[in-house]
Amino acid sequence: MDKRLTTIKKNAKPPVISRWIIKKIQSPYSKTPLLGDLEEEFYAICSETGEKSARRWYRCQVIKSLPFSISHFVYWRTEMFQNHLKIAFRNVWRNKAYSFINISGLAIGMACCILILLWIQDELSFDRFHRYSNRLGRVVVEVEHSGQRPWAVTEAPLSQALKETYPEIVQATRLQLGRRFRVKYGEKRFDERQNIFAGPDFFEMFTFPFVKGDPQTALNEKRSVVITEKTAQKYFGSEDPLGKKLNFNDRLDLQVTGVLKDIPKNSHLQFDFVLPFNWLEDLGQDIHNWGNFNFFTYVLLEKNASVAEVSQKISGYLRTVTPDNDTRLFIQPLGRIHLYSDFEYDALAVNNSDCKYIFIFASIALFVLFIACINFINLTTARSSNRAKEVAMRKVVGADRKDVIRQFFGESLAFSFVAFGFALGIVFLFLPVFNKLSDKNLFLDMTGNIWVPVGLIGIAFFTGLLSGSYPSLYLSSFQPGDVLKRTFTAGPKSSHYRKVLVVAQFSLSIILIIGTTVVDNQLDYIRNRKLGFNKENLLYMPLVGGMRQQYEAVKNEWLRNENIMSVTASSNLPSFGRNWATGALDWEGKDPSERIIMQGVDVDYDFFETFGMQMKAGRGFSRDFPTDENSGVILNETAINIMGLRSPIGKRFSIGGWQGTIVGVVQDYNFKSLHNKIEPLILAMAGRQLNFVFVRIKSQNMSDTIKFLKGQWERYNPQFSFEYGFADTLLGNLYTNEEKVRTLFNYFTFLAIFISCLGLFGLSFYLTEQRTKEIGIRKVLGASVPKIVTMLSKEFLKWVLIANIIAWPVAYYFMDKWLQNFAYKTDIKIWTFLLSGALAVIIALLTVSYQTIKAASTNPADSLRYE
Amino acid sequence: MVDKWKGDIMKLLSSHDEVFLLAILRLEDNAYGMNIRREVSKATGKNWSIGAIYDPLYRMEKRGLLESYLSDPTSERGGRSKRIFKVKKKGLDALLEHKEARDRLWQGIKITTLESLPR
Repeated sequence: MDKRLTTIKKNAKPPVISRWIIKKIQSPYSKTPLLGDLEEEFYAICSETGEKSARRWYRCQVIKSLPFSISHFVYWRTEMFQNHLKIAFRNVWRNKAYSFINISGLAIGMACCILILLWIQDELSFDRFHRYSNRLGRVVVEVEHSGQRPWAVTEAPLSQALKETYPEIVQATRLQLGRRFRVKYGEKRFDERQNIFAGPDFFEMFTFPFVKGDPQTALNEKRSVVITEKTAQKYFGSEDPLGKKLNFNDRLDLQVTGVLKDIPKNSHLQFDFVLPFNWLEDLGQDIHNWGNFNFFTYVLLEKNASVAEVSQKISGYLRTVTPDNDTRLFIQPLGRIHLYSDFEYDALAVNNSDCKYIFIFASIALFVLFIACINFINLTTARSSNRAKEVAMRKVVGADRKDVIRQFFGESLAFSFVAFGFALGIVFLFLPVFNKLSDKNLFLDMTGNIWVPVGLIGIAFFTGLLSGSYPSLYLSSFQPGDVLKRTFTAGPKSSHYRKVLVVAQFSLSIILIIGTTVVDNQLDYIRNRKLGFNKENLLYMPLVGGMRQQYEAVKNEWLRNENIMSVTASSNLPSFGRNWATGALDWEGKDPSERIIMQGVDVDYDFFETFGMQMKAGRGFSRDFPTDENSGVILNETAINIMGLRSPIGKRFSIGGWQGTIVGVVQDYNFKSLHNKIEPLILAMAGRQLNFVFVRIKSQNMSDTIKFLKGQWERYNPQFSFEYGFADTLLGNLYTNEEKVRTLFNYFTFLAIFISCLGLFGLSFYLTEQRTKEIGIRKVLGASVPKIVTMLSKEFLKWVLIANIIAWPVAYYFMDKWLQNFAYKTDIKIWTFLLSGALAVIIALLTVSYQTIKAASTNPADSLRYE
Repeated sequence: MVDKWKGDIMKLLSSHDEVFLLAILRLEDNAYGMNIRREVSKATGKNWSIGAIYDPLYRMEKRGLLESYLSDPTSERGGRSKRIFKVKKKGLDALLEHKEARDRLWQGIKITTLESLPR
């Protein structure tokens, strides 16, 4: 019999799946006998009627046992769960301080994480709301060998040409950003500048939702305009806007043919009006010919076309139009415009962000959450001796390690979900503030996007698992024998681990401190850097209307005002807008094979004087030399260096067919944002395309001066409302993105440090409590309070110092990378590190000082009676 | 939980319980899952599944009618131990009380009454 059984056993095996089900589902109490019964009878049947029927029987038995098994499973689980819950609650209650630290730390950490994730989600959602967003792209042109970034602007005929030439391009449109208009309806007059010019096919590609009107036909008429709901409300109130006429600049009436829902903030195109593209022609722009890079071109690709392939195909198109140019076209997918635009002349870029910030903020979110989890891990393991007996008793009465692990994971999950509840409260409370700081319109959209609730619960779950991981493994490893025999002392093993975690925590905090300091320094540096011209007390106004026509007279009149020191005009605001650029250059002594593209600005007399620029050689434009007006050229230093001219003054310099003479060299000045290096620049008067007037004013009586200029404006430009600005604020606006990031960065750093301190506070509380008796004895033997405080603080000090050593190189690496964004940057100075380190040390010491001083100054009589 | 059942064992000893208790008594030292199942199946003529027998057994164990312990593991059970059941004094009392009550009731019934029952 026995022998037969062994041979059967060798050949026959009970069905795997059924056995697995029973194993999983059975409570430990009846698992073993049940499986044993099944197995025994299985082999009995095997030897009686064969394996096949035995297997059938086994499966049958498993299925029949399911109701019983499941009910038992549920029963045992709920029973144990109730017990775990009860114990957990008792622990929370008994140790209110620790529980408070744990839950508040986790809640703040999760709230940060949620806010940052909402921010990231919003950043990633840019332009995705269009129906064809995956197939849309912007055509960008790269001028090879120019050393310039690609241009975001293209020529007007390009869209039509691309659509006709390439079958993969289903639709194409061009648009231009609008200028400022004085818009009037009845008594209501407003200045409007958020507008775009677009062709009728615009709405075929971009599916901005219409509230009223038909997207198909809205822009068909030359005299039509589409406005947003907000704008409609502003002009028409409760009236029906459709068919109403808006007056532009007192000249042209446009009929409202459509009302759009307000443009979502996560659109890179922001506008209040869509004006008919053809109107540009009446405004004096050439919209039919090549050569004028002034338009944004968007294409809609065929359903299955790949952007890369189509990009490749159209790449050389411009060379077929005008041979002998070095341009290369490519398509930038719509979804990438917000985060991956680094182009010249990208007037749309004002809302743009950078994918680097996504990465930075995602890391901060993780850091903060991680720091909060470390608090939980540290406090739980540090206090493990209090739970050791419980674990031992559980094991004695039959729990295996898995049960204990499950218990502690359950506990940490419960903690994290409670904290999650608070976190949601914090998020709701602080979302308005956060929106203001980040200039966004975020909200917790629980119903719209399934990923939001899933992500939120995911965060809570992840936090629970992360913070429960080490405590549950550590606590479940206690041997009941050791614990109950009292040979067990609470974790020398875990205290090492704890030190590592505290060090990690402080390293992260120090990295964040260094990060904020470097960002601050860099932004201060940018703000205070000498740009090569004096940006203080420099006022500008757009040169429009009557002021433009009578510029010379106006200028002379202004100069008579004692508060106005000088007046000039230029085609551009410094650092803004588009300089003209050309490669058709020639000069005396030029190497014919050399190709250089230079940018140019049209300027007026007194330009260099008004801006306070220094001449390196030669002279500025002057009325004493009448030829200056038509043939004078001034170059910047960089241009001269690239051209390799030794003595440039008086040399011939031609642009296209135009002949000029170099009369001066201006010291390099930053005519673009400090993200860019200074490029070669031509300044000339011949173009006389003057769009802005600049006034250098005295710092005294500023309000009088402005009042004077306002009066002047109203005299010459009654149809426009007074508009002016200061150069320094204008230049400050170049870095709004960085400023926004800086504010957010500062806040999150503060929170990260706060959470770290919370944990350190808890830990110091525990550690001093552990040493109460020791401190008492030391005091009895004559130790002074300061001595004991030093002794207790030394430990923490050591950790923070180690954290510094780890944090410094990491912080250096990342901040160095970030600074690469700027062509002009501060050095990362050593004192930044020292200061951040010192700050961390001070914060840590202050945090623990409360506990250490309290412990050191207790009466030894009390502390020795303790327990 | 046990307290709740004190004093009203009689009332709640179902016929299933009776069958199980008797089977365990018959099996003496061999009263474990598989044997109990076979014994009960034979007696009731109904095929009990292995899982199903443990339910009434645990219930009675909780009520203090039975006790159980795990035997040493054996090889024919894939190295698993048996849970062996024993009837406790309380269980036996309940059985006897049950039997007595039945016997008492049976005594008063005449054979003629049984024969005249409606079909």
